[in-house]
Amino acid sequence: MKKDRLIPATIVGLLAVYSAWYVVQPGGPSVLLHLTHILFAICAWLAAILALHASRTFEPGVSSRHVWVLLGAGMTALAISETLWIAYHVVGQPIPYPSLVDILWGIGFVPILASLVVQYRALHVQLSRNQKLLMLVIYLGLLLLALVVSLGYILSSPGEVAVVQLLVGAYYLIGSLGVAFIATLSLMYLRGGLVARPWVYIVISILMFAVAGLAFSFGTWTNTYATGSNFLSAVSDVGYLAGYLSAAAGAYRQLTLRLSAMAEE
Amino acid sequence: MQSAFQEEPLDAAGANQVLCADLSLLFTLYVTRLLEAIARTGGKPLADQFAQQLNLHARQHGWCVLTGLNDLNELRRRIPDVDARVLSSVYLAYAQYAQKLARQILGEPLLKATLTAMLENLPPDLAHINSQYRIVTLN
Repeated sequence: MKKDRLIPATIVGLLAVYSAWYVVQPGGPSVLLHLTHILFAICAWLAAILALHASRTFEPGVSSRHVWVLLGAGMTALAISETLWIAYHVVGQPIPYPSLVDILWGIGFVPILASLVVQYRALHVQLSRNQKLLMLVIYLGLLLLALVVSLGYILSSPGEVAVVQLLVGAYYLIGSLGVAFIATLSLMYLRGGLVARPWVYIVISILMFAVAGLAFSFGTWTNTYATGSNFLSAVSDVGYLAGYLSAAAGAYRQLTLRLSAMAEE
Repeated sequence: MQSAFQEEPLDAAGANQVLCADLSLLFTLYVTRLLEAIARTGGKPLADQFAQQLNLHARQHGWCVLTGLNDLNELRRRIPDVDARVLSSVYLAYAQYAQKLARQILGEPLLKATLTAMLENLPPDLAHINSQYRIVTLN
């Protein structure tokens, strides 16, 4: 099978198997919980290693090298965060909120967001005003929709959502969508080129993290987030896994960019 | 009279050599700019593959026979001593192939931006040569 079909097919296949496991839950909720976090950690480490390796396809001093180093550094922080979660559970300690897991995740997201901004600036993206406006409207629409849903709950249940939880949720949502907007502009500029292929996965990854982050925030505000317990938790868990897998796929695609691939794709 | 007869062919040969040098410089600059853009956005291995592919195309299309050079890289050390009109049509054909390949790698918007920047920064003498022989175009 051709590479550009094999990678999405593999991702969709893995997500389908995970979703089926999520529904059936063989071994019970505890097995699903541990499987979920082990998968998160494995995929995050895979994304981190591949992104750092992908940075070496660029010569020192080239902005694209910094882009992949930042992405790799961010993914490393997320991978450590996911591994810490497993460590907490292995030693049987309850995880406070916010814990080192949350703090590392929050810190790790900064270089990931920065990498996409650096990419946008390095490309000197030149798009028409209309193209930029169209994307801005789409992303503002998504942000507005997410805010309406969130605010609807917050206003109807005053006092139930802690300010810190609200701020963390807003940070991930606005950060993810803001940077996904910039990354989409970069992708539009590279459209039709072989060099765009890794970035398709990276943009999808950021969007998946935005969806998963929103579902997770909403789940924690409403105290309904628990792996395997409901649809909202499934959206969050499948979304995070899709985000990690897409990031790893993007880095892998950068590493395997070949001219010969143009003929077969 | 004898010296005039001797000078005329010398001048024509000299002019031909200068034109070959300018055309070669223009073509080399063009390929270098495309290589830089590919290395910046797709990485060094991809840029190396682009160079290899272009060299392969040149070898398959009479480069060695016509110029006596082994590959396009030799242009950095030697200028082909051939009929400049023939050389210009060879460069034009290779440049079109390079552009087609670069379009597949970079995509239309980035390729256009790269070529626009190159054309804007061409030295006046090379810009004049390019306007005559249309080696680098935005199409």
